[in-house]
Amino acid sequence: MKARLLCLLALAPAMLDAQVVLYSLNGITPSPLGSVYGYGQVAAGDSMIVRLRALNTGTASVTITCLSVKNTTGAGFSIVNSSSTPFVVAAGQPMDFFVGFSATAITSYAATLQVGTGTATDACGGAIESAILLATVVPAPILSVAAPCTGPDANKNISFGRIAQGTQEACTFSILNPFPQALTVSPLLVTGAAFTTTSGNAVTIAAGQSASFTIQFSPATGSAFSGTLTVGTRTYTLAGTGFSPPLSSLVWNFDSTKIASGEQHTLSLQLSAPATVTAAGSLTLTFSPSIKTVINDAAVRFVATSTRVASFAVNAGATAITLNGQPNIVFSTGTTAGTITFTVDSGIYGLSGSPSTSVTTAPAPIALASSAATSRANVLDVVISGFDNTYSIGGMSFSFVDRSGAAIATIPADFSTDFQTFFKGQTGSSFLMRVSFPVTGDISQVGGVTVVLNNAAGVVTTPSLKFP
Amino acid sequence: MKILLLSLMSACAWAQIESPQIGVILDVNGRARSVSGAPAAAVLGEPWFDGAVISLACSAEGCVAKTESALFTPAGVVVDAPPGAAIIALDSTSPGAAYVYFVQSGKLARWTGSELVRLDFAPGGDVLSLRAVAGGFEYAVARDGEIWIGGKSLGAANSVLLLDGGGVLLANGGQVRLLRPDGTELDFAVGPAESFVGGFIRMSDRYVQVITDAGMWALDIEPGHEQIFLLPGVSH
Repeated sequence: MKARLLCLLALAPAMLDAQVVLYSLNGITPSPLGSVYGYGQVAAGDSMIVRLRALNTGTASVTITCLSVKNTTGAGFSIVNSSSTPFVVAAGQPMDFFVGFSATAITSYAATLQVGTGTATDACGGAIESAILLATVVPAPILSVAAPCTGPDANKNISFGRIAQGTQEACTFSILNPFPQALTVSPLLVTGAAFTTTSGNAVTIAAGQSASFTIQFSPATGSAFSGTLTVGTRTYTLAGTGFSPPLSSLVWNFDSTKIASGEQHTLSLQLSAPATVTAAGSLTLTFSPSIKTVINDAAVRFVATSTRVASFAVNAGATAITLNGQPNIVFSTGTTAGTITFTVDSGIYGLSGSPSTSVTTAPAPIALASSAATSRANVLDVVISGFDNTYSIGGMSFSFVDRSGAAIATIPADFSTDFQTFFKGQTGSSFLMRVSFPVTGDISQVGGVTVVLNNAAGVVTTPSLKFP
Repeated sequence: MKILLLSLMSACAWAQIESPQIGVILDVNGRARSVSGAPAAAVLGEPWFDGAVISLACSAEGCVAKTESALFTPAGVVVDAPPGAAIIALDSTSPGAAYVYFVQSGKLARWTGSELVRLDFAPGGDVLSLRAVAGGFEYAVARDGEIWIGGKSLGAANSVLLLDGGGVLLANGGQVRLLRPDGTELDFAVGPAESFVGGFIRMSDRYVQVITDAGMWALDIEPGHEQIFLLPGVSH
């Protein structure tokens, strides 16, 4: 039994060693680090950071007490970010840390990475997982780009900015070899659907000289595009945005410059310049009555659909806009004075200039549609239909004449209260009014009547109405 | 006498105010709807009922309508009738009465307001329109590619409506022509040349519904007021 225990104790350090395994991470995918890990070629002055992982593969926790990088050739490697030690790693759990490399001298570099679980007084003296880190610094050309592009910035981003979709923008790039010997830059590659270049895959630049090439940005759609430019060991991000140019300003065409209540008019729309894209949206009509007591007039609308919204569409290269699929649209001005506003919503396509226009229907004297005079046994009836876009009808006078045309009398009347009550339950101001006059005596003596109707905008007079 | 008359008038005059009625139309779903308000700002009323009306004629005296299998009035009189469309000519000399030609069967009847009385009728062509006249009726037929009223040709047209008083509406392409009895003519455009006027419906004494493939219109046929308006909410 004792011998068995001693044997187990002798094995303990080896088991501890095997509990920590080192990995490198490419993104989130870990790969065993092995005994040697190469950073490859790093441009002079650039930095390269690798995420590393110490994974506890055992069934018990371990305490990492040592985490160090010892540069053995040159001085380029360093731990740039890690948890502080001692660090307890539970069974099956990792401890991640980052080791960076950066140097300017054109040579090779090496370092030893150590991850130990030793004692507090000799942290890196106990069980240690280690690996050799290697890197080579190579000459780095200097990349620059001319306007309109900008960059590269500290994160190696180069921007082509925003241009209209379907157009092109070329930027000139220049690679400077600052070194006293010729420099071959390879690879020299461009990726990204919207980016193209005429350069070869590699270029050799004489000492102190530059080489130029262009990259063309051609966004096919209105969206953001990205790509990469690889210049030897360096990779730059290319970015640019295509946008849909706004539609040109609207040309509003009404069938008449004089628009009044109680009318139907035709509206057509054009663009001042051909559309660069096929676009669609909506045309909305709103109405603001100028009569304080009226909040709306439902008859002000696009007639064919009885709505206040219509679709609009324009084809690429065209100026003519279709409204509800037609070359024009008919709207009703209703029977209320006010302002009718038309507004185009072109959505993502945008619009140059104002999207709206307005027409105003001015307060007007009562519009008469019909008028007639009839008689019953002992009653004279005067029937008048029309509309009053001021909603102020009420005061009127009736001038009766006899059969010979001689005046009998003029009778004033005020039906303002009756009309106000009527209008409260109506859409619009259309009315059919029957005014009845009871008569005693010989009704046949009354030959005709002329009615004068007043509203806030003026006076209107019926024709001379004959009683049968 | 005059003084007494006028004092009574002044003291007792009263006003009744209501929404003006333009007439009754058939919408694109075949529903009969009243139309009220100003013609250019008309408002549609609710359908008479939830069923299709296929023929209709209205005047100040009322309407006569035809469903697939019945003739009826808004007052509630309903009688069985031959199937299919009918041409209805209201008789202004006898309020409530009408001549009704059943297109499918080719039969003509007199609608008395409560029943159909069959009449002998040999039109000699496809009957397109009827109108009541003093003591009877007259009609328009299509024959040899033209429209005929008796022995008078109105030329080619794809729709015709005989109006009370002797006027005629003719449609060709996207144009409607109003022929007055005095020989005057008025033209109204209801769409592009390739448009098609599918028919006329007498909405009221004053208005005729013009049904086209591009919209529905109300034509004011009152002398001196002739004008055409797009009807609301019934076209694409």
